[in-house]
Amino acid sequence: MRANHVTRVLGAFGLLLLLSSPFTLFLTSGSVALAGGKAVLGAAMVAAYIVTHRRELGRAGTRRTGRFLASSVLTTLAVLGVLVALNVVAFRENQRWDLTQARIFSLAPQTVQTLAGLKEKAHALALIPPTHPSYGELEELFRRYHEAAPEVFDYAFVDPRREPSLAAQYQLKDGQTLVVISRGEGDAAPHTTLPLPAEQELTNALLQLGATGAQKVYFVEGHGEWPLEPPPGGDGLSELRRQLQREGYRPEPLNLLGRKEVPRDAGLVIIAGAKQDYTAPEVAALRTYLGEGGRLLYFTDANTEDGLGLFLADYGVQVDDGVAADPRFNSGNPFVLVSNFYGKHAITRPLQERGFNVQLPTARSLTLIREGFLLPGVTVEPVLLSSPYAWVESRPLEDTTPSSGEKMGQLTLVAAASRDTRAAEHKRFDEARLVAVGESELLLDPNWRYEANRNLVMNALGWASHQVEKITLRPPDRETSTLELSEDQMRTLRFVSTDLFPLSLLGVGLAVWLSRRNR
Amino acid sequence: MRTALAIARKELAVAFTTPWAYAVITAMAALSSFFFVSLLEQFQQVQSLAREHGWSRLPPDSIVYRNLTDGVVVQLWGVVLVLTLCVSPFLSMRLFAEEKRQKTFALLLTTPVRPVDIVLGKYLGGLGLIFVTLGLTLVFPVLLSVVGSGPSGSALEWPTVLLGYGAVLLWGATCMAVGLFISALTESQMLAAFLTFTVLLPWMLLRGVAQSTAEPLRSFLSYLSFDTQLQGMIQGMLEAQALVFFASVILFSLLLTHRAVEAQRYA
Repeated sequence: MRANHVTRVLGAFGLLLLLSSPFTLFLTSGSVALAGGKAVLGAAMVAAYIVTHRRELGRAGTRRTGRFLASSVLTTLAVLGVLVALNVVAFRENQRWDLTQARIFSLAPQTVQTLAGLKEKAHALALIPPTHPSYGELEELFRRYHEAAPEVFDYAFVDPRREPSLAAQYQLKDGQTLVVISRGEGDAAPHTTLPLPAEQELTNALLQLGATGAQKVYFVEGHGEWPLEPPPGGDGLSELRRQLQREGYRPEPLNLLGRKEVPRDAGLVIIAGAKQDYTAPEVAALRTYLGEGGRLLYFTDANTEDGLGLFLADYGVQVDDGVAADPRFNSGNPFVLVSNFYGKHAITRPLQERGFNVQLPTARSLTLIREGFLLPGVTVEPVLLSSPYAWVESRPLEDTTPSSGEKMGQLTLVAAASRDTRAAEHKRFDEARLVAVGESELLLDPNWRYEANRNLVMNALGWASHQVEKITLRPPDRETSTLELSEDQMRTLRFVSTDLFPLSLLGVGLAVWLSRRNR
Repeated sequence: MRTALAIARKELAVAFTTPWAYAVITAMAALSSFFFVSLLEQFQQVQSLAREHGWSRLPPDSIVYRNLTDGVVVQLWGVVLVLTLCVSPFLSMRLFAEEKRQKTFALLLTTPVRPVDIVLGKYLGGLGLIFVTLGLTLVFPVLLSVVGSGPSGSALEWPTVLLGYGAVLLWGATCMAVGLFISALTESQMLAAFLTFTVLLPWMLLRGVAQSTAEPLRSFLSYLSFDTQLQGMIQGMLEAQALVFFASVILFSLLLTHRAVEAQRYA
């Protein structure tokens, strides 16, 4: 084989290597080194061809074919450029027309309204691997939101395996997925997290983020409650405060001493483990607050007195003395209760769905009063219970077994009460809400990382503080249509479709062919 | 344009007087009929199960069979798209390759006909042929609308059905444009058909490749995939980007064909 034949083959191979290197990089191996190696080798082979055939190429360049080739390449590139630009514009400014009867590919009017009402930019970050089966569906959902409100809603996808720091930030375990919806700009922007949301959940998350922004959460102080800012070496609630800020709430301390009422801008009041008695005017302020439709989260501890017994009894809650103990459902110590016994309440539904066990060390149990003491219109429900084997140990330092006279059976550990306050004077909200928890230490910084407990607190907070009712969207679907064919009808249809129809076409073809053949 | 139409008429006349076109059209009709009847039987079975046990007891995937448009027609269009991918190379392969093999192409180039008219004429001829082939599939929704029924009277959602059919035609037009370009490069019809199929199939399946890549490559590949662009349309959602994308592919293929024809003058 002559040398110029060899270089011609080399040139052809070189061109192949050069053109296929992007496929190596993006589609097949993904190795930059391999793709680069192919490109360099290909370029060298093409260069060898050009050098050995330069005279031929030079001659070609001077001929008409050379000019044609150049003009063809230029025209093709110019048209390609225009078409690419057009497609980029079409992709960015895409218009859709949903021609289905039930508008199954369109956002619900409530969603469009919510997006139109967004005051700050919302951002969705999906931590999901690209191979996840729900990736496409989620992307489509986000695209619809973005197209409906390009100025206020944008989204991004991140593979948690490639961004382990981000996965760690949201405590994402291997194989788990998460969608973070944030409001505003920057790392400190308030956010909420959802596992693979559908339209209803996503819209509700946007509503929630919009609503919480205006809400102040007051932490009552002055009675030995856990402080928002812990003293050096002491315990406090700085993790809870940070979480509240991330979700858009504004946590602030509140001292009720000398005040006649809880500030009007309170979205929620939290009493986190008081150890000294509240004064009568303070109790009166709290009573007025709930009477006007306020929202209160009350956390207590074993061996404490806070003077709020009668106030809580108004709402059907009585805190038992002693410590709740359970010989079977514990973490090795009968006073450290582990429970997955949930009441039928919105607070614990997500915990139940995710199969969480809540852990409460040295908790006090609650007795629910459904008649007598409580105010008219109050309903009180158990939220979290112990197992049926529990008892209230009145002398925990001396005894770890049930004794006579001690309350036994399934104990209420968390309770939620509500009361219709639509008719109240100076009404704050239509309904007063109170959540009582027999353990305050679960709020402390060292305990905040325990996911199930954190979920319990944040769900209780969400239930108590929500001013916005969640919207319910019916998933759109096409209307039902029926087809009832008898066996005879089906047989006829099968014969016409698969037999008569193609045979007729073949017959026409045969007739045409034969008539032309005989002509 | 008049010349282009004359060439298109000639192409159609030649096609419909050869048994080859009828063989392809019959194969298309027979295969789509077979799938139509299978889908219909499946639909009836699931509906009968639902009447017996209720929709809530059936697997979640069965929900698609609640509606005749979703359960039969949308799925049928999906099958027809794949059949078009297989059939169109056989319809486009002869457009230029046959003329080259019979040495009539050089003759055509010596006539006072502009290459653009040749390309457009051949394309319109091919388009007529594929539209006739795909036109037959419209028989199936018409049959369904006769035998089926829905609460609002009509068994089918005709806007969805017709948009899906539009997607099938658009896909056919795209296959024809790509096939025309490849036919202009060779004088072997079989090679032209094989290469057209080899180009169209991976392009159609690009979405599968995109699913294993990360952003922004995923969005880019997904946008380029024929499958992604067609899925929305066959289900009843028209998108401007899909129209721009298919128009771009057709235009670019015709431009390349034009340059390939023009190049014959310089060969």
